[in-house]
Amino acid sequence: MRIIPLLLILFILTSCKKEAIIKPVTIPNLNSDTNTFSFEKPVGFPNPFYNFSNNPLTQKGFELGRFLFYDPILSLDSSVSCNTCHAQQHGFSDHNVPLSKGIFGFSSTRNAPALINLAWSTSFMWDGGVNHIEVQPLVPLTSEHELGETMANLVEKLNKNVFYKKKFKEAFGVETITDQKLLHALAQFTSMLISSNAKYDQVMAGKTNFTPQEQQGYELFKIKCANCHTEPLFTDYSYRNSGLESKFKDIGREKVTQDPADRGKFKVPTLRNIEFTYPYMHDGRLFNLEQVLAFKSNGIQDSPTLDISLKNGLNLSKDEQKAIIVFLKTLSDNTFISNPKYAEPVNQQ
Amino acid sequence: MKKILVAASMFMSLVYQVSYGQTYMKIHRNNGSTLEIPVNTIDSVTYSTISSNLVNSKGNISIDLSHKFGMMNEQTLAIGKPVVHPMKGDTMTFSKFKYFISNVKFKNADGMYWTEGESYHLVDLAKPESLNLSFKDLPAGTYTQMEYTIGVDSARNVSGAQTGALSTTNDMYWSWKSGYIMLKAEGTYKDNNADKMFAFHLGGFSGANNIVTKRTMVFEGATALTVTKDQTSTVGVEVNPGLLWHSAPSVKEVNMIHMPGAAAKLMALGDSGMGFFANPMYSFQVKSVK
Repeated sequence: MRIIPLLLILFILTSCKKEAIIKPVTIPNLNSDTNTFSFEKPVGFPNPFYNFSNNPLTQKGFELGRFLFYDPILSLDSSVSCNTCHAQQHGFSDHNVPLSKGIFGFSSTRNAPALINLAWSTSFMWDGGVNHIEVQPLVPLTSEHELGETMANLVEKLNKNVFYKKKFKEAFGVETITDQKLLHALAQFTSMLISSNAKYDQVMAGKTNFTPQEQQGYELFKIKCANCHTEPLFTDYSYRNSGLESKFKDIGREKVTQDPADRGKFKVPTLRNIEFTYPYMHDGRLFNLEQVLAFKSNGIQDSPTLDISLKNGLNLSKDEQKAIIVFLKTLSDNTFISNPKYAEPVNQQ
Repeated sequence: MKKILVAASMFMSLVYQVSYGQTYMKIHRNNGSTLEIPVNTIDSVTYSTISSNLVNSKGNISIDLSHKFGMMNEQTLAIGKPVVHPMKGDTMTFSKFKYFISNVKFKNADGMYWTEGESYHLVDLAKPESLNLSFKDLPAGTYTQMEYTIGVDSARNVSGAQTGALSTTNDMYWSWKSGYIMLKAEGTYKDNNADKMFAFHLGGFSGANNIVTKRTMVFEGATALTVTKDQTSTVGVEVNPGLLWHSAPSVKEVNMIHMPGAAAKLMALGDSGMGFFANPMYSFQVKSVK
């Protein structure tokens, strides 16, 4: 019986397809002890948006992505890496500066977003202009205010680098480094930046309890905030005008869609690790959570695209604002910001 | 127990694999789908084929693209050579001219298709080798038409990092608004004897902004196409990018497009489908078959 398929191979040779697929198909044995590296969906999380379908996750691919993430070789003058503006101790956001500095000290125009649970993200950048995690790095890599490279030059540089030639071969079995493999490696690292072990998660798992003030904050949060900052990822990935201004310095999502109805709208950010990712908002104008809650309560600026839920502000008392902030700090995940798997690799070259 | 009939007209190829102790027969079909059948459920396999001659003798097709600017005046379009638009009167000198041709299929006289595997070609006027689209090992026989797409299909615009012609190193990708630049034309034009720059980056793969266009090139009469064993049949195709300005305004009025939208669509598709991407008669004309 099992000989039949072998005979079938002979028939392939008579097929008129341009390139008959005769390569053997191997499927990694997920039960094997040698392949324990896998994407683990946290309990209670939905299925991730990114499923590695064209980029099978491996330990070597992840490690390569990690090397690249921390390596300034990716910038034009080897001065800036991804890590420069996405630091682990700040939840992979910038070092508490409103706008990030790229090569030659050039300033970007928006606050560097925190890289947290990106595998669930349906779009990237504050304006959602990027539609896939694998192509997100193209923006910072090629922006003249950030890493300032061209993809052609970057690929050429990496192909001259003995260390990366070896690493890409180990990870992907390729002799020549391509932009696709570079982007695949980075996606393997960034999609694995999973934060799901905050006090909030412990409480949801029944392992501990909120304090009364945290509980009060959580109850208020569910009424006032969770419509957009939806649990358990604390964003609904929508674009909204949160009332920062009535005349817009930055038109936000409208730049991408060319639709005036999107004027001043930005992607709802996750609130996980919000304690570590200050300053806040798309331009980093608010420096602490007290300012954010005060603004959401009674600082909302009206405009035609203002989100309906913020029309009259959130009207929170000082005590209520304080309780929500106490709750938000239960989203701090110390195992995430100290996870050695995500840290800068040693003995790089 | 199943009995499986594998018809050659489905252009399938077969592989098998062993996983988890179970042997599967895997059938890859040209439409991208895959059938997996546990081998222990198969009694017998019958493989029927239309003609063994057809599949055993194979030849090649080369589509040779020559670019003209306008139909009547027969100006050759080349990098660095000034050309005059026959309708608008603009004098333009191109420094870049690149566009994608993708998803190529050839239909034979029996109505069967030969489909190219990873079918993405970046035509670049600055690279002579890119002007010959080469298709190898087609079954011998008569082919009546080539079906193809100008641009890059929406699937590849939303599926992350790509390679080959679709590599971002080819500088045909918008990073800030994910998607391929389907056509890029850059250069200078004369405006009262002053040289000014033009840059048209045309794209858009979905909704109202979609410019990706499926087309058909017909081989008949004097340009009937026959593939002969071990031979390359060469199809001479005249391409007329002048049609980009069939409906779009003079380059003196609009000299830059850098994102999908109404302006890109007008240039690519034109009024009533008369633009370069869509014009059924004059943007890609079969001139000769050898």
